[in-house]
Amino acid sequence: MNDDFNSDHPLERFMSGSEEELLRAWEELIAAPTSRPEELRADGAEAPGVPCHCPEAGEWISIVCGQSAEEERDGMLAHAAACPVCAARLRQGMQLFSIETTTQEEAAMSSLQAASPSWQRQMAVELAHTPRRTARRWLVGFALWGGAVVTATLIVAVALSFWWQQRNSPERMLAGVYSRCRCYDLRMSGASFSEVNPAAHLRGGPSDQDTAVLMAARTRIEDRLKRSPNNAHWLQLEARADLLQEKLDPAIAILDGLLATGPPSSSLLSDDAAAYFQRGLITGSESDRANALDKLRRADEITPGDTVVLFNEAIVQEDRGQRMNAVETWNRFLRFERDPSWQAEGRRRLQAIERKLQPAGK
Amino acid sequence: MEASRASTNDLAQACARSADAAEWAELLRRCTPLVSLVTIRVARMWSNEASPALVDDTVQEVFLKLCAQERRVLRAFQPRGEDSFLGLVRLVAASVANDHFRRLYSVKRGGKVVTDSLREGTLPALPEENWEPHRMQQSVMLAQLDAKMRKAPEWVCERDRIIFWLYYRQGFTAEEIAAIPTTGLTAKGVESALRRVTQWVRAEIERRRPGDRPGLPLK
Repeated sequence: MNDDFNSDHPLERFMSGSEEELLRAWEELIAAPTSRPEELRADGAEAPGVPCHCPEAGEWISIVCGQSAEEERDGMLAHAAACPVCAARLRQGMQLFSIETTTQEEAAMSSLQAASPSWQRQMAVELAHTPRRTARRWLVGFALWGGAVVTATLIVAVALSFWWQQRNSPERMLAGVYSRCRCYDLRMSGASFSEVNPAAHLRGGPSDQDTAVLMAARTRIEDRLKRSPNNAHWLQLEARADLLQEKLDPAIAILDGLLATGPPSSSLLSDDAAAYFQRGLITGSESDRANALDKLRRADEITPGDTVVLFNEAIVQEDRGQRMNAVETWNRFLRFERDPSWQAEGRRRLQAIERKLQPAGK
Repeated sequence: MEASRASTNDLAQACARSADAAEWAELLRRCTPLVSLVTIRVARMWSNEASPALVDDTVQEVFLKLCAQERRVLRAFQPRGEDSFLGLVRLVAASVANDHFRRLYSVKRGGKVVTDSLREGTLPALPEENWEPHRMQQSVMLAQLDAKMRKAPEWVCERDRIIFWLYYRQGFTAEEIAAIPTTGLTAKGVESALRRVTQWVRAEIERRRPGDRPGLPLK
């Protein structure tokens, strides 16, 4: 009985349909494609028998507006290919932008308030007063941004120019020459550390060791002095250049002149002391070296924490035989100095004096 | 600028910065019918019960959207052909109206719209009242045809399969299929795809018929 029932069941029979039946169904489909499905029900509810998980109307509108993701869109089109209700919705969505109107649509449009000239006039006034970006505001914005950019560029340019001038000022150039080739024990203001190189002593005349930088610095200094021959700053730099080339007499002449005419500064006194000390060492003049110590004491009084002055003062004190004073000055120097290389040299010199101060045999 | 003589594109660009009500009135006169029509059609897709007042509100919302963020839409508009602004307005209207009704019906349903994953694996079953033997048989046969196509993606790609069923099952014309955004085919291209699929399916069925000489599927 069951067999009979099964064999008569239409679904069973159809499912085991032969290729002949398939061909027949195929030809029927090709010959007469399915007529367009019934219109959607007016309330938008699903048609009978349609699965409840069909996409809502809005999804089809998003597809028509090109607002769906590609993957989602392909899935929905595949669904519409199999679902008559969704296919109808897709078709309905595609007609959203059609220019042709039905009489029903025309009637609906004419019943709207929006169709009346009064509504449009009122709406026009309202829309005309909505916030807008005016040309003036745009110009103000442009001017503000432009001004900011120009100002920033100027600041950067000025800063770069200042940095360049500082880096290439004759003062820095002379300090650089000293650092590359430290030809005497005393320090020069602004110069970084280097070991003393006695072979670099120039003994007062031009030599191969006159670096291009030193010559360039001299040229610039002289150029400035042509314009303002009495400028104390440029005169002091000229004296430093002389000192580096061990042209000690002209250096002392300039520095003494500056100290005589203007207020004494720690820097001037220190440079003058260095010139006197070097000349004293070369000529063996006790007077020059004593003079150097006197000038360094005065400089120390003006700027008690100046490590260049303290360094030079300690060396001259030791030279003058004032070892206890030198020890005290080196200790003060080590308290103030932050550069580890200069500190190391100061410590080394201090230890050397301390060894000399120890009683013989210990 | 004489508003009545200006093109719609020029008028729209003027309105991007204008506080002149006359220019706006002219733009509204030209755009309101289009916005209303699209809004009515969107409303109908959502519900046939959308009242004129609801449609009016939506039309107003569309115009306010054009003016949002200091009239961003108008400022960003770049003409791409004669009256291309009307094309933009159509899209904005459909999008704003769609969002408006989605919000409205979401609230009516009591919350967020939840869209289930689509069932796209098989052709849908026939409604129960249509379970007459012939239609049922046809439905089963079509499901078998679909299965054949799915099993041979090297001969029938997914796009062509969708085109085939939209045409033969859902009654779309080649022009309608070509008009679906991102199909990427002209009507002739759609017809060519249909021809390819039908030739392949026919060859496939005939190849499997008992007693027939097996033949190569056509591409």
